[in-house]
Amino acid sequence: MFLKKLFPVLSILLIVFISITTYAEEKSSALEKQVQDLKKEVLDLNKELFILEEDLLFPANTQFSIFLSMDIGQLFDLDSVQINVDGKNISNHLYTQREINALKRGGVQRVYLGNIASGKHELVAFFTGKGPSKRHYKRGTTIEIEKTSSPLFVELKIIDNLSKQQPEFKTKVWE
Amino acid sequence: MTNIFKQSIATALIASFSINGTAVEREPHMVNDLRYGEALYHFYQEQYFTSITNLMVAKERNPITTQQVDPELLLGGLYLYYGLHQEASNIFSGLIENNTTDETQDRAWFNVGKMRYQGQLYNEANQALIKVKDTLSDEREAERQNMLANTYLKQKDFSAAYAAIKQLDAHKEWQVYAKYNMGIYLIKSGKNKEGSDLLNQISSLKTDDDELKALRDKTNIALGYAYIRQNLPQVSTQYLQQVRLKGPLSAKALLGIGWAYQQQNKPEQALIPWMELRNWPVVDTAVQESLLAIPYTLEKMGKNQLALTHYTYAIENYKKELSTIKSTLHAVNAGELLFALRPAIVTENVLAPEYKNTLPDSISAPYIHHLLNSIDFQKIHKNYLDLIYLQENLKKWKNQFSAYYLMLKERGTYFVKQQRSTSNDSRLKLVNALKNKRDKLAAKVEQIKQQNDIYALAAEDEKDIFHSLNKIKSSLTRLSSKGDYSEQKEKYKLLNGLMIWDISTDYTPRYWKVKNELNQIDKALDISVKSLQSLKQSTTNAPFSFNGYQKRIKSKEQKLDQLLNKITYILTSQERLIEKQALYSLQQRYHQIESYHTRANYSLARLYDRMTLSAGADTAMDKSNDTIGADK
Repeated sequence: MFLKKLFPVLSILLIVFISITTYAEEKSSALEKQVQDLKKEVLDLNKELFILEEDLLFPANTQFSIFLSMDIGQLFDLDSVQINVDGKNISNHLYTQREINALKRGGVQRVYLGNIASGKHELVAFFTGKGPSKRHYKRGTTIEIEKTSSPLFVELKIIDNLSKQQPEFKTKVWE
Repeated sequence: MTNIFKQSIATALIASFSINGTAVEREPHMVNDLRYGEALYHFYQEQYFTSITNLMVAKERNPITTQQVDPELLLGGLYLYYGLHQEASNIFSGLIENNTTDETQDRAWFNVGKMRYQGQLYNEANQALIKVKDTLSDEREAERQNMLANTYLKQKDFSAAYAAIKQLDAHKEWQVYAKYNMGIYLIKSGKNKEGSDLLNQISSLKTDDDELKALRDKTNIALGYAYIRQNLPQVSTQYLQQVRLKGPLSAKALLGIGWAYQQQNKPEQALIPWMELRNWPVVDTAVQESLLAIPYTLEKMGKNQLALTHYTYAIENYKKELSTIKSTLHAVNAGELLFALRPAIVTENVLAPEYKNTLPDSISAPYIHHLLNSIDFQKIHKNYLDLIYLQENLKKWKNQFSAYYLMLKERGTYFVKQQRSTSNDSRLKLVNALKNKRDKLAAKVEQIKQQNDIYALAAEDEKDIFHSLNKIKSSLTRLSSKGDYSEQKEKYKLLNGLMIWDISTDYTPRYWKVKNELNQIDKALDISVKSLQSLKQSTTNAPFSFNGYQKRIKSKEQKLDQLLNKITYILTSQERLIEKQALYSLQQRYHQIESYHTRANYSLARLYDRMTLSAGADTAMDKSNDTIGADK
């Protein structure tokens, strides 16, 4: 008898304990649909604006992009990259751990997007960080590039040379 | 769907988030296309919006063909994460229909199943998930088995659900959650024995993982209360006592232990955990209930005076709580919760609370943590954060437009300036003059050819000789009547004949030499004419290209303005929805405490009445006794 009286009180606790309000389900579905439609519209417009900006600011005949990638990335802890073209500094980047992780997992960073005149140019990239012995490490790599009427894509690659136990810094010009 | 099942699914989903880090699938990728690599770079940093943009731009410009189906799978997964189910569905359906490899089909079916599962379409999710063969990664396969188990539960196919759970032997975290879900579901379905057997496997789980410890506590609470309901208080206590003393469920465990002792008619022992709870923050529902349970039990024990004190104490505390909730309701109405939910810095990888495992810094949080931790609310919160980011993103674009217009204006001005200096350039007129000259020369050469005019191609010295010979001829004609000049005439004929012979035999090479020179002039002129034409073309086209950009920019700006208005409207609606849910939840808490408060007040009044009546009866008895005594 005593417990019968207690149970209404107990049941309130249990209901509160186990319940999640159903209010959200009832009210939010229409809004949810509006939100999803809006997200798609914004994504589409963002894409169009991105293309417009690229066409406007970086037309194909002068467009020049530099990318950076890592293969394995165990022998070199990248701190920063400095890029010079024809002796002029065009980009400096200091890396966060989040960015390094993204590079180590296969992501490719666009370090620079800009314009360059047609013809031959010299690109020099300096990489600073910690080498295999955890000592300060600075290396440079140079490449002669030629700009034509097509966009120019250059990839800077940091590669672990496992046989030499040294990092290597290579460049590749993409067609 | 029952509340318990919903909570179980929610728990499992949260577990899946915390195990994976994110809902979007992750696997190492071999990069053959820089654009895909760039999308991955942002994806790995949880910058999903940028990653989607990269993939969309690549698709529009020049689809990535060297990565097989990876970009499509990534984009589909990103759409899924972003809540764009239709777009994700289109991609995965396309991959399924396009006769792709088993691996791709499996990943696509997995994602379709997951999408339906998240949309609570459990039968449809089951249909998709069972189509997956054997190429998924271990982690993803475990997630699939977990989802499968839950879909079978929904279909009440317990043996299939259990079979799916058995497949999780190598993935203990997933298996523990799956067992919990199934155990709770079985108990709710009246299968106490089967449900308890499953939950028992979790109740004494040895683990260092905080999440699993929390799940173990939850299991022990669920079992403890289930046994109270089954009138097995001693068994109940065994489970409730295993709940950690310092944890979010410890108050509920203490409350339950009290009820279990009460069920065994041991009120003194029941009071021990409840009296402990008296010192705990009253915001906890278990503490609130214990405040009422204490005087109720004391009253039943006949300790009325003590019960009065505790009823009064409970009423005071309930009053305070009601007042606090009222203030909280006002604060939420004034936007306090929304302020707490807004990120301090708007970036695209601001994560919703389900990933952070922390409550927002709002005064309402202690009262509505069940709501804040629910999957439904977290979806709404995530949408809210997404909308804020999208709004910021659009505002940034909006700010760019003035620069674009300025750039176009500058380019136009520069063009006009260049055009003016070009039109005044005398070198351009020279090209036309040279062309006229060349045309005349070409006509003359043609005439020479037609007339076979050998004299026209004679050299200047030859022309001088002919001129001299003509003069000689005239002199000889004039002198012929005055003497014999036959010898001179013969010499003249010989010389004239020799000259004609020379230029006649040289005519063809001379003609071709002239023709060749004319060709060279033509080539040189052609380059000049083409340059001129190109210049004219550029002059004609340049304004069109400015106008083209002008139009493009204008149309995008209009679309952007339209979307900014829309986003402001929907963001406001989203805020209202969040506030409504919070207010609804707070009101529920208010009514609950109000109910305790009313009960406490009623019990207090009843106890006073009883004590007064009892005191009155005693006094009457005393008086009666006195009277009787006096009578004596």
